Amino acid sequence: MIMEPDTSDILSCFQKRRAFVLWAVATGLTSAGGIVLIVLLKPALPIRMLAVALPLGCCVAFTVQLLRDFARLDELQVRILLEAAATACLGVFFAVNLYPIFRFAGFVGELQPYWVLLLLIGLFLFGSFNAKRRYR
Amino acid sequence: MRNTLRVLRAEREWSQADLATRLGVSRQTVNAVETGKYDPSLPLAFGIARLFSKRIEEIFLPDGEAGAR
Repeated sequence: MIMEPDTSDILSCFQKRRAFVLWAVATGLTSAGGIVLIVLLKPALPIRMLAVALPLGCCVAFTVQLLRDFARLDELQVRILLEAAATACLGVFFAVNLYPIFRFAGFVGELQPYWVLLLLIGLFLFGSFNAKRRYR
Repeated sequence: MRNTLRVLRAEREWSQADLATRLGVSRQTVNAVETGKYDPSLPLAFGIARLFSKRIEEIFLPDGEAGAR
């Protein structure tokens, strides 16, 4: 399917399309709900499988929606997103590699998955704003 | 790389948004190309040349070359 390119402001296509945000929220809610359900009620295996499958499905839908939105970006917008993604990936790569020495030195505690997630999101936002500013 | 995009656009009294719509890109892309902050891809450069009925080398010039703007 050929989609018309988004001709609006850089990154504004994401502001206009809410579907991927809804899928992200759905992922968070089903994930949190699933944890609560499994921990508190200790349900049977089929229910546990469903509790795991729901957030997984939402996550896949979120990814598909986001990739469909990427396909509508023009070349500069794609470049900005690539720079943001590179910033995020490299930042996390270095953070994970440097973590052991910081850990042994006693500067940081045990690494939690949500810290990595926050770092990824933070670096992505920093990278996108930085690239956007450069091409303004 | 320098270009004469701003002049060509002004001759036709198009805004950056007008040109962006005609090219199927964002206004920021047109602005970034005009100010030389971003070099367009070949398909976009051909699209620009076709839109203004000119050859690519008449619009885009290497930095050291005289004649642009």
